[in-house]
Amino acid sequence: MSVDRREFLKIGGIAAAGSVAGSLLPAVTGLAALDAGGNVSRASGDHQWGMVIDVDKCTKGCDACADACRTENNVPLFGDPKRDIHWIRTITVKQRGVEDAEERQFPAMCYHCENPPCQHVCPVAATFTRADGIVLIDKHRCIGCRYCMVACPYKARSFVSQHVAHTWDDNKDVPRRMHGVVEKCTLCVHRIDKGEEPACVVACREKGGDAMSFGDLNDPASAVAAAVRSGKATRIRADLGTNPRVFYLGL
Amino acid sequence: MSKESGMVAAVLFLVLLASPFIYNAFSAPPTHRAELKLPDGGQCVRDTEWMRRNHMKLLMHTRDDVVREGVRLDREGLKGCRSCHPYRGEFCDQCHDYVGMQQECWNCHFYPESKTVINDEDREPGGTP
Repeated sequence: MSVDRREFLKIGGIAAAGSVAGSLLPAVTGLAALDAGGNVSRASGDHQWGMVIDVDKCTKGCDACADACRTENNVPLFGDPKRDIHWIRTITVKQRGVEDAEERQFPAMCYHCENPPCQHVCPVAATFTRADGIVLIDKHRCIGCRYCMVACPYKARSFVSQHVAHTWDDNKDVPRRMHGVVEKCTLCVHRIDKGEEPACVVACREKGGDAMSFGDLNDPASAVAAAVRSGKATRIRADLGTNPRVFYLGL
Repeated sequence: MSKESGMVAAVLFLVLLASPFIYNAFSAPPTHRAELKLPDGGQCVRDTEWMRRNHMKLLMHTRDDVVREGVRLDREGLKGCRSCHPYRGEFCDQCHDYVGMQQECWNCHFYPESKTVINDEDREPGGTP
């Protein structure tokens, strides 16, 4: 039997591919069985989660949303303003160039943009947008390069610059973090998946001025969609074209 | 070099080459045995043989599903492990410590090492688990 060069390479290639596939298959089949189980809820594009914050209702000096966020998501305070991590923070603004302008306060956070600059610059695809519009960081992938912090026009992201001590009082539903990753508001994705509202919204309703409302922008019946439809809702720095999913009323 | 010195060198070389086997033959048998504390009855999410080889792949798969897709199948992930094997010191660490494979899961994820660290007297507010 004579085998020419071409035939020989063909047989070799098939054999190599077969052995590779054979070694991979058992593991892959075992994993695939997961999804065959059915009845699994996953994030879907049917919902587009968003938030509307009514600045007129935000109580001055109230920090309930930020406190609730720290408790819910185990966000530490290092006691050094340069290094502190903020997922949501209250900021005070004043109209420039107006005599005796009134100081107004409102919470600022990650706006979960439709067109997120942080995601575009991430070199390892750690930042991604979930099907339901929530922009998240996969901290398993994050290498801590901080390009996203530079790209975000809203200062929504913080770098975990030092070791965070874990405590027994931590919320065990939310993983803690290693130093050397970037983190930000997740819109309390673990609560949304359970059908609950983000912790800041609940805290604002219970302890604050009920300024924040959370809902599905795709659902015409939701308060969020109604506020957006009214035309009074504005987005911060709309000129940048990032299309935030968090809207402000009365700003 | 004479013939004799050549032989001596060859024997020395062979002894050196075999030294790990010789050492092992005369030393005490390894004292460590992985002793996994297994729950009474119950069935793991996959059969044991599969899990021994592939648990890390399953955990990675679940991790990506949860983070990226929002598929929260708790029983397939670390929470699922914890529901039957409550302490990692009696389970994960038994093999991982022996082979010197560092687990980075616990840097962020909650999985107590042993029962003693979650006794009430040790549970100081703010203390580290």
